[in-house]
Amino acid sequence: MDQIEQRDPELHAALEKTWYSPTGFPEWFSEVNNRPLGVRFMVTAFAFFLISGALTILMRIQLIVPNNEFMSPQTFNQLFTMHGSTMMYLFAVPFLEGLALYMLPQMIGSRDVAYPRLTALGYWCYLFGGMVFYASFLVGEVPDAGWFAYTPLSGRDYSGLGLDFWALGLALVEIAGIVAGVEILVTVLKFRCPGMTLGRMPPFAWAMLVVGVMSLFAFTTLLVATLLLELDRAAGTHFYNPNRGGSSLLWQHLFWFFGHPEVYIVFLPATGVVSAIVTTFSRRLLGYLLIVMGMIVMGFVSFGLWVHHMYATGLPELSMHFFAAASLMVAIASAVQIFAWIATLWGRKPPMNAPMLYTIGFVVIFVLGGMTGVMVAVVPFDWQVHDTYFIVAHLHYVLIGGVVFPVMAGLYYWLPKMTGRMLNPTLGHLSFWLTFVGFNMTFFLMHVMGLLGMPRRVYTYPAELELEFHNQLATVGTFVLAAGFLVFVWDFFRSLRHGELAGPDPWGGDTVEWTTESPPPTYGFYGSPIVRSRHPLWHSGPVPGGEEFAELAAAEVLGGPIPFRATMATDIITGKPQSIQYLPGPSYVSLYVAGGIVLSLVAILMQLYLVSIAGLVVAVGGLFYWLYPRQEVIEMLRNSEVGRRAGLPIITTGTRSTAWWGAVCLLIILGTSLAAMLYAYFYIQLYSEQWPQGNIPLPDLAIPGVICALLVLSSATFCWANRSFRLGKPMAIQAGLTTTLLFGTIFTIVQTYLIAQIPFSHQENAYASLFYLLSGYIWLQVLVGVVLLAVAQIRIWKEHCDREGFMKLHMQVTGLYWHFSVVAGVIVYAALHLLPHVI
Amino acid sequence: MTYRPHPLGSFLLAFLVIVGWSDVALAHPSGLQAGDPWWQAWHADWLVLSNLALMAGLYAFGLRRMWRRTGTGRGVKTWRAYAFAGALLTTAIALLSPVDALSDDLSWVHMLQHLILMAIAAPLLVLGYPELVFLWVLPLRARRALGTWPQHSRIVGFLWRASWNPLWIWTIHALTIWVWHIPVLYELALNDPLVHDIEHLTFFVAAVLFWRVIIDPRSSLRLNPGLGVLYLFTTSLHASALGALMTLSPRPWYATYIGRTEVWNLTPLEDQQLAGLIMWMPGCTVYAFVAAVLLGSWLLNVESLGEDRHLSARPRVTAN
Repeated sequence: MDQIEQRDPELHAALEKTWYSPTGFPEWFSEVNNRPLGVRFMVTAFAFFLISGALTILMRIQLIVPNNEFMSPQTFNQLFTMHGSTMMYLFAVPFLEGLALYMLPQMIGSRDVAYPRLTALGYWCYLFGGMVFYASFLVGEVPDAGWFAYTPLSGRDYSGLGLDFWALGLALVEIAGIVAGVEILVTVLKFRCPGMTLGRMPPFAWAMLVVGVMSLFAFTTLLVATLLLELDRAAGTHFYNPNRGGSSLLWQHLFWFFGHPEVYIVFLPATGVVSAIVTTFSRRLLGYLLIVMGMIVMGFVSFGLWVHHMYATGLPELSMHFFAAASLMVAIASAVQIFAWIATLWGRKPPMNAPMLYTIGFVVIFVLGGMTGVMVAVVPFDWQVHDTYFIVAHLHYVLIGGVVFPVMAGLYYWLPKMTGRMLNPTLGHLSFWLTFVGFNMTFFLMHVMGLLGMPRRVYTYPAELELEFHNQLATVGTFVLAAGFLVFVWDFFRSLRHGELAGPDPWGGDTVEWTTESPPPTYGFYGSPIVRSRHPLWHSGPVPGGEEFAELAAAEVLGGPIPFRATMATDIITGKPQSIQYLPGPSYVSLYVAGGIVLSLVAILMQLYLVSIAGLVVAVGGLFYWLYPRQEVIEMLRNSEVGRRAGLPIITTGTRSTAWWGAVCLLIILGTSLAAMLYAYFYIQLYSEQWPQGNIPLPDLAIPGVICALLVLSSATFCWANRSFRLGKPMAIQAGLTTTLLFGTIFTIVQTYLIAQIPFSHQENAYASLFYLLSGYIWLQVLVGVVLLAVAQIRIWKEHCDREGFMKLHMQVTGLYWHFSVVAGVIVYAALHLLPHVI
Repeated sequence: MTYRPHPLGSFLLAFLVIVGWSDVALAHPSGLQAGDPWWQAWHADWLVLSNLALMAGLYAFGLRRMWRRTGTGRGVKTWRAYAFAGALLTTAIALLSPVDALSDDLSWVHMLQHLILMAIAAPLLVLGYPELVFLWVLPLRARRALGTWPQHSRIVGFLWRASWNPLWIWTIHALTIWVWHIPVLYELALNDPLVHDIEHLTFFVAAVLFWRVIIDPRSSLRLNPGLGVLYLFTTSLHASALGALMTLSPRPWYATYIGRTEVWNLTPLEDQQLAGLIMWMPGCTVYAFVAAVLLGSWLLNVESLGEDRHLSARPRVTAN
């Protein structure tokens, strides 16, 4: 188990070289290692946190006296919009992603995350997205419609260029969020060290697993919603325009379908952090199972609850009882976790250091926020306090209590691991007390202000409300709070130079990240750790024997000379070694793809549509280069001795392969985006007197039906090709694939023609916009499928004998995508062409 | 091991007698008025009753034969027999009780009926392990032939495997739910008893197949509970989307209910909202609950491999 003492210095040097982290210009941009990228995520996010904090100080200065004229109402709107958007999209989510990218592989005993280049893509998209957000200040057109940007206020009639910055920046950040979801999900599933069964995973890993799944669904929905918003603004569609048959409430549905789970996407990782800290300092963890079940129930239920953010939008009265009851249910799942921590701490005497203080601060503040949450779940109460400072207080208690405090606790807990230096205990106490007191000074009286009738998002208040004292206290509190964070920042920089050396395990922690030196070497773990219990460092578990020797042997291999980056991939459930996973080294391709996406989106801002298309071409070309299988890598892996030495395969297929899981995640993302569009379609249909709207005739059944049938046939021919591949009949493979490709091509061409001769414009009404949207979506989906099929066909010409290796994987992934496209085609046909005739 | 009669048999019998005894003639609409004793509106649909009786009889016979061989409570545990009885009971409640009578007047009661069938009766039926018990009705030779049928016949083998394919079953279940809510089909079912029976049958069969994939007694055939959670989660997503559309609709979808719901002091729109909400909230709570239980019990098993439960803390306290 001991990572440091038993290692061979020569091997250490060799591993360091294989896993090197590029420095200097321009190599710095080709970084793909998880830890440097995790640090970049965290540093960037913390910078945004401080900027956003500075914005609040300006707002609090404005509110210090009634009828203040420190800033204009317009500026105030811009500031609270930027503050909310920055905190939610640019701080909370990315910071926790960064923490997970850094700590997760360390905690589960892996050398890196599943898709290193994807990590980099996520980072660049996030960074550029944040820059687009803040570029609005340079132009002087700052977004001002709130962090939720309700339509029609955010539509083209009422909001200027600022909202385009908002929507496009957000789209980039969402891509980063989705990407991180995939990354984290597959890493937790496949890259746990040998012996780490699902039931032995640290709660933090569980939290990130749930969050990974949630991100796929939630961020994808938001991405679709923002793209529709941007289409409304830039291309003149009418999805959210009630004057032309659209629905402005549709935005709220899609937004909160993301927005409610979003709260848990940031809260669950925080609970994982708290579980880790509580475990370490109480030397035990009670209720592991309940904590895990609580997380899963929260993740599950959060997707059914979006409507409780819309109590004041004129929902059916009957429905309120149901929403209220379901909202109260969430309190149970959260309470389970809180009680588990309290029980864990009960009777132990944890040292009162900074991580522990912040954890206790979290429990206190979050419980208060939870209580007000239960209050606003009750509909009549919510109607009273809706859009008042009571809600401001509630959401800050939940988010600062539930996210920022755990994040601070996590930083104090893990920074010694990341920097190798201890933070100063006195400064830690000082920082905690300043933040804790400052926080409550700022926000506690806001409950009262709300009850007394001070509305939120208004730049000032009349003197008759007699809220001057409350507001002044809050403003002073903000400064105290800010001082608390600055003390931490100062402590951090001080510790880098003067901090006590931390050593591998300063806290006596229980999980495997404490076995490596601090900071961990570039390759993470020397050999793969082996885990035999939930607290591997406290408990080595049973003595290895029998088949466990095999695991040990396999784990040892990773400590040996390997000419490429490799880590151990294990069984999803039992954590038994399954294969040696090859990982790619530094690459610029992520930056290139992210650059293409940014170019394409920013060009929309400037209405340079040709440039936008060029950017898209760059991004797609980069992706193609990225995903195209490299022959030299395949040959290297085929000839590698490493697998034989370990008795484990390097080349894997199906559920054993990370590529397969990546494809499945892609399908979940595509499926969710299709579902979100269909929801928009049906939702708008609900509120339309006639369907199709206006004078548009019913859609044609025949030609779309025929090409849809061809698509279904192509699924069968692909199955035939795949079967021939398994049986080793090269001619039949070619015949099968050619037919599939032919059908796919016919579909694409006919669909292109059909779209080109649609007799109405997409600007006609909401139906027309939706018709174009869905037809175009399926056209693109199949077009990409055709390209993938062509690539598969070209490669299989030479490689048809590779029945158990890469080619099998290639066929599996192509098949997944193609069959999914067929299903999507049938669904779109049914919804778009068939149903209007029936309903 | 000697055979001794199990109380379950008499329980089933008594239940059938009670169900058979109540007989209220029904017309469409139910004809009930607000003040009427609606709770007495039981009726005997002989098709349903004979089916239930047949199922109960076969199950009791098979179980008796099996337990005579294996010993009471072995092979199929006693609680499974109760689960099966519960499945029959809830099916009877859904199809014969006032729930059925009122479902002609109120779409929310109709929704409740479907929910009982799909989310309570169907999983209970799967838990009862009828596939095994019914096999025991047959003599040994026939049992063997039937048991190995999937291996001998290509088509049966294909169907058998397909019935365990989570993707197929998920899709069939989703399609069944969505397609029957298309107004044309729904109205057809409301106005034609035969179509109505087909509707209920397809709902029930789809639900049994759906639950079988995740809670079947044969753990080797079940979907892994981790994926099972995703299977339930995605189902609850699309079901809540349909429920949301139903709840938020500004117009009633099913014209048949217009004029019938008012007797119960609900406008047709309110009635439909209630129906949508039942599908959305309580319906999806069932999925969340099952997901949590599945996962919890599974984790207990996965973790118990090699975990030392007596944690002793390392006596190490750090300053700071």
